[in-house]
Amino acid sequence: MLYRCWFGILLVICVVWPGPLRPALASPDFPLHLTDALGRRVILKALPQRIVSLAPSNTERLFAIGAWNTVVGVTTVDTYPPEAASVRKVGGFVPKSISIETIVSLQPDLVLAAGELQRATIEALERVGITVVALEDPNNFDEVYMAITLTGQMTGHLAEARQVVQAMQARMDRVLRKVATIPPASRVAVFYEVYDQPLMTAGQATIIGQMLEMAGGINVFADLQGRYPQVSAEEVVKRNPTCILGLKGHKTSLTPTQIRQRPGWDRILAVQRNCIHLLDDDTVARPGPRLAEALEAIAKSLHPDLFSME
Amino acid sequence: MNRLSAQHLTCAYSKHTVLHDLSLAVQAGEVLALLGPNGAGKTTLLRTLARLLRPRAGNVLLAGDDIWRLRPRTAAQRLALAPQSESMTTPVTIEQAVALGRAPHRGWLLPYTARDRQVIEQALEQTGLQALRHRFITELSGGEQRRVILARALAQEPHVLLLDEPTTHLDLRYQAELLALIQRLAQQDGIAIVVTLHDLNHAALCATSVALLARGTLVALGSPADVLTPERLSQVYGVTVVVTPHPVYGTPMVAPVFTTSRASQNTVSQDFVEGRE
Amino acid sequence: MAARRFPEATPRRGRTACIPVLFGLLVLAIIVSVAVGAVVLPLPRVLRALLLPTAPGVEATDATIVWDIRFGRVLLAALLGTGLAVSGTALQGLFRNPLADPFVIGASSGAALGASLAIVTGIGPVSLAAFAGSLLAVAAAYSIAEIGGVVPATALLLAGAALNTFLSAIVSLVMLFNEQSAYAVLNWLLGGLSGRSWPHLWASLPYLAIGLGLIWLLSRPLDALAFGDETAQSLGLPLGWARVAIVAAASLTTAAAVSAGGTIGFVGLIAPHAARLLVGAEHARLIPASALLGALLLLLADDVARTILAPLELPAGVITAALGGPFFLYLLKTRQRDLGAQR
Repeated sequence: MLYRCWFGILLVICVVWPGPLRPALASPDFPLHLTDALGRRVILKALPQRIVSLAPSNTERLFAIGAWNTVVGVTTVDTYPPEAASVRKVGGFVPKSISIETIVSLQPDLVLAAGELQRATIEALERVGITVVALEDPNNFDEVYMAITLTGQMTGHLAEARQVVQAMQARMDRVLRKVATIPPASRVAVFYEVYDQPLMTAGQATIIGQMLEMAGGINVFADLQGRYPQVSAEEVVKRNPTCILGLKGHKTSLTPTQIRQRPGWDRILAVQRNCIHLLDDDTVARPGPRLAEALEAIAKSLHPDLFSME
Repeated sequence: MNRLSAQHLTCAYSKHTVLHDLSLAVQAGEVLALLGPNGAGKTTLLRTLARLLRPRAGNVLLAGDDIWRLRPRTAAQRLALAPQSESMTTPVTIEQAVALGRAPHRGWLLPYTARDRQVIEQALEQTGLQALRHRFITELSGGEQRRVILARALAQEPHVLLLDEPTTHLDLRYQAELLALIQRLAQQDGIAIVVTLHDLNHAALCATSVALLARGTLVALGSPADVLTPERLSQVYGVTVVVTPHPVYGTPMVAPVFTTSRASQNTVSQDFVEGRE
Repeated sequence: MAARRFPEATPRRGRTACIPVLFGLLVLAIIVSVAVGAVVLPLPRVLRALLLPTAPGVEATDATIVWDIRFGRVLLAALLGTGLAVSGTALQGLFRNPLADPFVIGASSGAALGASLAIVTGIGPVSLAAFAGSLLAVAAAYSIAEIGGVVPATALLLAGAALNTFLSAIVSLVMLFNEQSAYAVLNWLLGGLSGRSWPHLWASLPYLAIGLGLIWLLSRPLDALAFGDETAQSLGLPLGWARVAIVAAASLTTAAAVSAGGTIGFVGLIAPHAARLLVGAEHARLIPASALLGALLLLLADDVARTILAPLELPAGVITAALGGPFFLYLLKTRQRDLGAQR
């Protein structure tokens, strides 16, 4: 029930708090004045017809809210949606690999950039008179919803954006309600492995860290500061998680067998009970509309009996 | 007035004293040869005179001025050093290498004038390098490289010329030419020349005065005839010598003799050594 | 007999003609570079956009691409190549070492540290921080190497090497403890001219011009130093001042280059060598030849970098590094000949 009020609270927050995203709610039509994640004041003169996205999260959001027909350029790491494969590429993820002149040749009226990392690229684009809005990586669900809503506003798909947010929230609601029925003692101690060399985990400042809690788990490293702190193998063994979660795919070639073979790890409950689950990279690691899927996957891994009906 | 003089020089490398209270002087038109066995301190003395080594005590005067009070450039306009060897690894032509000798006069910025070119030309001529002027110094033989070094020193138009073992490794012909050149430079151009030499006879041929060094001290200073005596030479070099006059020039000619206690064909009688035969 | 360390140059008549020829080649290369890029534009359109950007028949995007993006970047590449090459020439002359490059005395690691600190703390413009860091590192190396008012060349080399290692370690630490900005720092460290254009050109130009001018004025001292410190001294060169001047001019040039384009290797190493082969070792001619060759080298490297995997842009340093390997093999071959002859 608390979560149904979220959207109202969100609106209030957006109006009152000078956060990283502040759309001018007084006039939802164009020209649209806003301040982006880097504090830049941007004016969108008219509804954008040609959008270039410089980050996978931006691309996903555009697709989810139905603005895909306006996307004319993406990066090589934008693997979702599959339709992105046929869109013109303007560079890679590393900012230095982005070709400014390719972007210019596409004549975009809006470029969605990724924040502080791409500052030099943004400056170069500004110099040739291209409108850029930077959206920083969201650190929590509020920011995720704000990003989706703002994207909807900028592209004239506000209604769809709100629907996407609501759908996400509904899905997550279902999970949260089930999780609420779990007694505290049954919450599962979980270790989330971001990378193996060096051994890195996720803290509470990250979305993944928050999702572990939301899915009925207890992050064994919840006490650590920082987003992705490095930990030692001994510490993991000492904290004895009941489940181990990680990402499958090319970036981390983790397999349950490999994890089991690490020296000393056979003493861990998670290994003995065979609760080692690898999740799909893109769903979990990209802070976009598919996070609800991710939450479901995590919940299923931690409490399979509770979520087997899904 | 002395062109170059050393007064009570004491030089040392860290704790090891190399030269003890050494004084000498050389005037315009004079050729002073520094002689002595290895380790006597000849090269150290030359380098001290050349403003490369700072003495512990005493001073070096260039035309009456303390050489260390002069700016390096002023000293270089009056005094030139031709060292025994140099790093010759950069592919510049002989002409370019010799041209550097004009830097003390022309400075480090301005292009060379016609007069500079004239001086360079003359230096090349004096050392017999004119035909080779466009060859790279990296392609030259050891003797040719020595001549380049000398030519550059001459291009400095020095009042005082310091030469370190200039005849070593040269062919007999070039040795003769060099000794003649040294004499000419002193007599005709009035340059004061200090030259370290291994070969006593070379010294006798070109020098007007000789400084004999042994273990860092000046054993004798005077004309070749006065200094190059059998007693003194055997005392300093530890070998018996015979000194006879040069058949053409009359200057002392030093020849070592091998005296052993064993009777052999190579033994010479003491009488001969002492001039009684 | 002394070993031949530098290969021989071309015959005398060819040497005088080299520099104007190189200049002509550079002008040609600039035109070609403006014509190539990730976006394929036919030459007539490029030329029209270049010469008459405001004419009615020229498309706005063409003009933007050719003038705002490519032309500025191409000129910057030429300028940076010049700076790196001349700086390398000066340091090779100072240290009498053919393996010296502009970064031996700490310039690159200092710039990296300055840039990474600026990125991580968000204080100040990154280019300025890189520039300052570069100069400070060289100054530090210089004062470390000083012994009783004298800075021996070997000591300076060692101090530079020590500083490079030390500062690089600190940069790694900075990245480790600031994972949020680690990727941004890594991005800077890649170097290259991506996104660089006129503003960076104007910012670097004064320092590069001063540095290049100073080094060219130091031609004769560099010639003298080639024969050894003592020879230079006995020719009247004030050794201490000469060293300071050379190091200062080279560092100013390198700092300006690194702050605009990051650490781009091998240009400062290869260009002087190639120039020596063409015009000989006399610095009055070597420096201009080196400058032109450096400009050509970096220009062409950047052209390859932004077209070979289009639309992905590679850092120009990757291309120059790819040239470095064969170059060192070539050096090895020529030295082997010398070493073989010595036996």
